[in-house]
Amino acid sequence: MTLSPQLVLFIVFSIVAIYAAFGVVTTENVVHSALSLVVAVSAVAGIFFVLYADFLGLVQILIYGGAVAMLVLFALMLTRGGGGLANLDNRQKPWALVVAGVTLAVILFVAISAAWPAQQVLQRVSIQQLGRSLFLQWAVPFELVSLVLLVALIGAIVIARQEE
Amino acid sequence: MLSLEHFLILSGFLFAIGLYGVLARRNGVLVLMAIELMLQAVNVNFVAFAMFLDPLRAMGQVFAVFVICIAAA
Repeated sequence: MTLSPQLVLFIVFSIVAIYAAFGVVTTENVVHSALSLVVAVSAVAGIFFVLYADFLGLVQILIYGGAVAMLVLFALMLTRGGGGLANLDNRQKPWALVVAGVTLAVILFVAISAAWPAQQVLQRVSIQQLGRSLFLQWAVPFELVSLVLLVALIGAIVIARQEE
Repeated sequence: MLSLEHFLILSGFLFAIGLYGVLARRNGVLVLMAIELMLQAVNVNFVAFAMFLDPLRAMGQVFAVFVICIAAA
């Protein structure tokens, strides 16, 4: 198996992402969990860069690393609960392991044994193509998404005002 | 050589870890973070399929952008 730079980068980012994902779901400290999420999201952004989806990788870093993680940290710091692992993992933990393990097995089996169509070499897609697709073919979902964001914003303001 | 299966395996792992987090965590914010992990896995899937099978139409990337927007909301 020849070690192309893409393969090396993919392996590095994958290991970081999976390790950080474990950190998100198993650590005792809630703030550690949020910071692990930032690491995992950054590693996934690296995966996007390996896939030549550079615009998406930058969007990922901007939105997740910049906005979502910051919001999560604010929410955590403003609503401090008790600490300790006993407070964070509920009683369904063994069943959760079983369900996650079964799901993983099914996904891996399908991924490896299915006959995917002929694959093309990874190549650069111009961002003009992405923009054209986004605004021509997907214009209606685009507007709907902005509507969803508007509704979420209004909802958050209403909830914050009711607490006064 | 990097192929589609590599990315599918990666997204499978991320999805399963996120699923475990959703089912096993008690704190609501932690459940939300695990859901974000699952959305990451889904996005990796989308983009990998788009870039390997149909790169000219960029549909997977467009959909991944929508998923990120909904996740942010």
